Amino acid sequence: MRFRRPFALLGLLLWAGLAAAEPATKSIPEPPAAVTKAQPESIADLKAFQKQTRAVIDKVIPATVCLRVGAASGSGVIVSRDGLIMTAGHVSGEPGRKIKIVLHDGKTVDGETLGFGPAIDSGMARITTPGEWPYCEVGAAKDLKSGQWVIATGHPGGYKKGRSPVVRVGRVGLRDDRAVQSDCTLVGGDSGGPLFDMSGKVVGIHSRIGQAIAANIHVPSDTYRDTWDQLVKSEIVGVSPYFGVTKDEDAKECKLAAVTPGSPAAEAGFKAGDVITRFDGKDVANYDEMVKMLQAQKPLARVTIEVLRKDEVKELKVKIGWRRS
Amino acid sequence: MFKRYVLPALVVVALAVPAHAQRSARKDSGPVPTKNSATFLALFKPTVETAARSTVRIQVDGKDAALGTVLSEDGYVLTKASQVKTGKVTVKTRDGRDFDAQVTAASDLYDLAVLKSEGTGLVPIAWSPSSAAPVGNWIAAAGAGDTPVAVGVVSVAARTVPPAYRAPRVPTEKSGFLGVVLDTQASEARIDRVNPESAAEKAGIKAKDVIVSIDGQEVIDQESLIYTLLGYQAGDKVKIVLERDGKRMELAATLGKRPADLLPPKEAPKGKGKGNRGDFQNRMGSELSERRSGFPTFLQTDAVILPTDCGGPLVDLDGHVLGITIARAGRTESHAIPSETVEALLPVLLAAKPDATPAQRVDAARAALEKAEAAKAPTDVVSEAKRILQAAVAEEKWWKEHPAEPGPAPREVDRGPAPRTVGK
Repeated sequence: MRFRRPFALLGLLLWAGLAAAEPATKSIPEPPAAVTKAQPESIADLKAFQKQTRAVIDKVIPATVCLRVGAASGSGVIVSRDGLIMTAGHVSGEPGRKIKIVLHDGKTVDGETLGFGPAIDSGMARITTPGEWPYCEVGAAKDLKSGQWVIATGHPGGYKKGRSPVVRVGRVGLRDDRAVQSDCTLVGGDSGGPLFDMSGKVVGIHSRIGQAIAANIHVPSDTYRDTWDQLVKSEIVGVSPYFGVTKDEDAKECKLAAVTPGSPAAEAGFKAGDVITRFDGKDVANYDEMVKMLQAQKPLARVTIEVLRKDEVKELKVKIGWRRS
Repeated sequence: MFKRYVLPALVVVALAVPAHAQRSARKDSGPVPTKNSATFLALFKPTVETAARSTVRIQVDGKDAALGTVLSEDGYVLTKASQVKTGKVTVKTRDGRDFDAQVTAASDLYDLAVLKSEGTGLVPIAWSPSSAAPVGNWIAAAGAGDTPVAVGVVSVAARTVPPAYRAPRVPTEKSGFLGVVLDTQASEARIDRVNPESAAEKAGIKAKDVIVSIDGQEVIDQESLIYTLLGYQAGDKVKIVLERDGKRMELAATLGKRPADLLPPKEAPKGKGKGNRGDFQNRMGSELSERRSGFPTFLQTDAVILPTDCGGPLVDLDGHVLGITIARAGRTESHAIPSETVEALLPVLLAAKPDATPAQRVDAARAALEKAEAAKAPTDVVSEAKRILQAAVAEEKWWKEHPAEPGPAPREVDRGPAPRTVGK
């Protein structure tokens, strides 16, 4: 035990040195011409290229993480000093889940999932263990040109003890507002991992693959910038609130003709024939009024609803669901 | 029970990118560029100029099986062992000569075999330390021609993988069994239930315990617990360190037998198995080597190499030979055995001359083992030297007991025809 203390202190000092205020990627030099020209033309070009690659990965590897969400495993990248992580929507999934985050050196910290965009597969999480973390800047995917070189890191096959985040270098092929394709090969476990431009800025997040070796699809970084606040606030981006009932057209009041099986309404115990009288503390006169109140709700919000069922007033609690808008 | 790796959720079959997306202007690489496009490969010609002179094509029964790396002027060649297991082996040089070859020694562990061909005037390879090429550096896999067979970057530096993580071990009837159900909602090895009458129950393991290590081998997640336990047999005694209510404690367990209904179904034909989702994804887009895991020490690159192009030199931009390509291991990875490891292993594989008597083989294997130990060779190299010595001893014993037999002698591994020249 006597020997523990000095080591702990040493660890603290090293750690303090690591947690710079600036993004880790700030000190990466501008890419040389060898990297930006249509194609490197000589061994000298390739040498200049690999020097840049090393400069980038030195800085971005410490920000590449593995996310353990339940028994599933994906990747992510730290993008703020206080530990915000960009990942794929299908990795983080439902907001508010407690997760484990494995840092590049195998150290595990606590985290939670934040918002996600199911339509485009964007997702966000956060390290909850207090600290300052090495982080990367977020670039603009819309500026990517076909043929432009990019670097991928991540944890293919999940985090493997003793293996640093795995580096791949490739070129962007096709790109639009919803997807970036490159020949940086990806496989299960890479999901959520970052794609960088040659100055170390995050331009994409690994999402899915196709049969061809070059069919590796990344979520463009721009969608994260555009929906940043929503993601950080644990919202589900690009969806409408979903309840799961249909209107009884013959009734003047808010009477339900049917309840969709498996829907939030069904889970909460609503039944066909129920008449909704109050929604989140407000009186409901008819179905359309209820729909307006529903639309004002955020997905995953918990709402108390009063119904009249066979002359009996019942209070039901529903967790608002979502569906793609 | 095994961990799920997410990506796969959304496997697209075609590139679902709308038509207005930008397209590459390059003509040689189709709609999307890859590192193996002809112009990009050609750029790397100077890097493989020297190494390619020491690279040969290995054919088995007239079909391309692997590449080979020349070890000596008089016809010794290093190649991927599992690609030359059976059949007639031919070494084809780049100047168009064909030589018959025989496997004289092999390491199953590293999947490397030494061939002795009748070739002469071959150019031996010069190895360089793989540590000279850090992660991110360009690499090229030399072929027997002017142009490399594949290029890429170093994805992960050479590393030695602890035995428990080397290969997905397959449970058998003899595998040790603890008798716990893991909490699938946890990432760590947290126990959900303890089976009644199981080894775990007898050892005092309880639900919610988190297993931290087995016999000092660190358990970082559920997968590593499973793999570590699969390294033991029923009846083995293990020390289990676990955390209970935040406190560490150590328990001793005697592993039990795995119930028959928890054994995997009988093995499917090679390469035809259904496999898991990770395996399915790894097979997307390129053909994988049949033997592609279990190498103790390897360097990982993102080059897309054909399984039949493994066994040749891997070089950096300066033409330094960093190692020998050993497997197309997955969609994102090809592996190479680093030069440092090859150089430690070669004396062991080259110890016995092909025409040595059984007694000479034993002496040579013993000397190689002693040398490897004296040189503080990697543990795995020393264990290969031991295994080769044991095989030589067994072979010598067999010959002594069967003086009248024409052979072949029993062999632990299939390394070609038995020695023809017998001592007595």
